[in-house]
Amino acid sequence: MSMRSESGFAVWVREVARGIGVISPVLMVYTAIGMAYGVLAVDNGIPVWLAVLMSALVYAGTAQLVGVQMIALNLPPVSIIITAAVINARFFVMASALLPYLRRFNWWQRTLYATQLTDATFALHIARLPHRNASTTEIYTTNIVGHVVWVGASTAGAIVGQTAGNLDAFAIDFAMPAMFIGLLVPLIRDRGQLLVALGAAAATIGFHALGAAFWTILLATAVGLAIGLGADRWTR
Amino acid sequence: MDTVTFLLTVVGVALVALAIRSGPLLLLGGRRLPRSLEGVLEFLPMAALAALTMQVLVVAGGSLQFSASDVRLWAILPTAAVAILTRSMLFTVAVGVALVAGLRFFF
Repeated sequence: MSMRSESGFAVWVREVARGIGVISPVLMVYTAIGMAYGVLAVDNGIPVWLAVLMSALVYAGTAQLVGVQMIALNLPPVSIIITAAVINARFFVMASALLPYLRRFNWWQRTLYATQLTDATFALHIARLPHRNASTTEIYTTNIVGHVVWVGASTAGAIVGQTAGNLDAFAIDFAMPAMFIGLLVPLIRDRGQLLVALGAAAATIGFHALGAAFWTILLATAVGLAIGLGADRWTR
Repeated sequence: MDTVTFLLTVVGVALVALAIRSGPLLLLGGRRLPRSLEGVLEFLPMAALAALTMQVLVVAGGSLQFSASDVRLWAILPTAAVAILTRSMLFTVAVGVALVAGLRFFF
């Protein structure tokens, strides 16, 4: 069957199926992490509707996990928003890296893409888009299905967390760190980069022990950056 | 926190997250980021991911909960090994979560 004989609808269905195929390996991970977030949110006294709303509007797992803990501690909203900015700073880099492949999109398509940019969709698209001219339908299907599953899993987690007690036995609280490890490992290709990751991880514990509280992420990220830039200078 | 503050905080976090993610897509146009930032761009994602991994593992309720009896800390290296060997996020998460569940069952 040639492309020309395919109806517009058949093409659309095929591209939607492709988009679902691209995101499918991530969906189980999203389900686990979304549920972990939902459980943690209600554990911290966040009402179910707000936990779900946060997943729909924010759609950034770590910012949400850290955010609900800060809300529970009654910290000032401005400090929570600044922390979210620090946690999400890496997406600035990721969006810049994806820009060459999103040039055909207009401003509102780019904005929609940005609202659904996550660590996982970045990893999928940076591996796929440079080698393949993916259709707009495929790209947005991947993003929208991920977003919907995230909100659904958060809702399920919030409801389960409200009724069930301790879910530690299922170890879903390890799903997010495990995803980060899975995302981090392919990024590390040399010794300097390994030092960056180990340094930032160690600095996180160090700064928390020193009482840096929610500034820790900013400070530890800065330590990692400094190690990387220093190692670069040393070796060149 | 009352409901209005809750809502304002969530909307504020959402707007900040959107601004950061859409900034390069909307403002950069055809330009590239300056060369002097390239080192920062190379190392920022891995530094942030490593810091966040530790943050979600060792911080609970705003305070440090770092203890050798936390089986999740012992699961970090085996999980990283799975990530190196399989290069698959799905496998990494599945094995990591199963490992922690198993360790919790036995210890």
